[in-house]
Amino acid sequence: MEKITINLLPREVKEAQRVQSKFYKVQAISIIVILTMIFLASVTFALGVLQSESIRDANFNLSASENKLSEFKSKEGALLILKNRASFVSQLTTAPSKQRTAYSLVSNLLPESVLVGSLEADRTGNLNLALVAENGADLDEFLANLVDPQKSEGYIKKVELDSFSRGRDGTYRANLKITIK
Amino acid sequence: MIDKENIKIFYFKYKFIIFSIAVILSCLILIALVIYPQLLSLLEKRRVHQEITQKTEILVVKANELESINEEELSKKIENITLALPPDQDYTSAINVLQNIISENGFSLVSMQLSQSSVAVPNLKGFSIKIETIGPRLVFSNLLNSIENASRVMKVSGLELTSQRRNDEVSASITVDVYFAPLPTTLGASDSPLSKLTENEEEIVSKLSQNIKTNGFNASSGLSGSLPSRGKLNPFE
Repeated sequence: MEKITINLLPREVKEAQRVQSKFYKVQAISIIVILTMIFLASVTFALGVLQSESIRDANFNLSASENKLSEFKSKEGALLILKNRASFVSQLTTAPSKQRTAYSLVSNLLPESVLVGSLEADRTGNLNLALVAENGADLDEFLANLVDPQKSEGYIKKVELDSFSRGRDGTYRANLKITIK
Repeated sequence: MIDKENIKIFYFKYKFIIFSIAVILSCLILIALVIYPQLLSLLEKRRVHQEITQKTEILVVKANELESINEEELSKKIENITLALPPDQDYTSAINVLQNIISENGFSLVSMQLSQSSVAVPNLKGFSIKIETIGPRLVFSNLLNSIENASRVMKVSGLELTSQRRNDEVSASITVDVYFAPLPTTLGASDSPLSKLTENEEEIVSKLSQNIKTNGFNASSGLSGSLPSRGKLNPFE
């Protein structure tokens, strides 16, 4: 036979009990939340302390490495000087001067019978040439070589014929201005 | 009395809301005043730690690399390269080198003229030497090659040539730019990477050493008969 339970408490008391139990639950949850927050704050604080410790250790290692490196300061200086000089020398010696290149080019293209009376290469490498040739064909050949980009290796930008004459002795004289690229 | 009673009634009526607001507020205060600043500081400390560790690693590697370098070999290279590109004008060595080159190529020196010149490369300085010389036309190209491949770094910057029709001689006026570079005075930051030579630079250094060796260069006394470079080779010593 089933038991019959009868709550004889007044309705207001029952309501008050229900509200109170609900409030206890809220209180419990609040305490858990606050404790979690405190726990998080403590963890971050502890981690901060640990981190400071490891920074102190790292700084100690850093000063040890710096001390070790300072022993090789003169070697490092020597290496820096070597690098500094080598890079300058490399910049200066990678390519021959324009003047040297221009001279080599003209010498290579010049037929044997054509003589260079005078040659002048300025700071930009441009050439002024005074030529003397026994026959016009060789002079023609030289001029053709100069303006041929394949033979002049694409190095010559412009060839100007300043003057051209034929002397009483039958020799040809020409003054050329060669602009280098 | 009435106020207290009223407050009590108000609290009992709204205790859920009041309690929740109090808890939320205290959580927010805890987050704002403790947790957030601590987290920021943790992240900052982590960054600092990483930086220090990285710097230490670089320094260790740098120190090991420096330790492995042969000091004697390095000094030899420095000597050679300083003779090729001295820290000051060192006119005598430049003149000696040019004189040797001219005579080796069968040319005779008529005159030599020194003048200042400007160099486009920063930290690099130079001066010009104008040489008046006479010699065989056929080897003039070799003379120019020898000047530009000399043990002292120099370049031809101007050329005037007149040749005699009857013989194979040329009379030349060559302007040669001779270079020098003051020594660097600062080492830079300790954690800056070690200045290593590139393959091309290594080649240049060994070529220079070879050049100096074949030209009878005595590193301790300078180029045969010339004065040694003045000043300290390594200002960091």
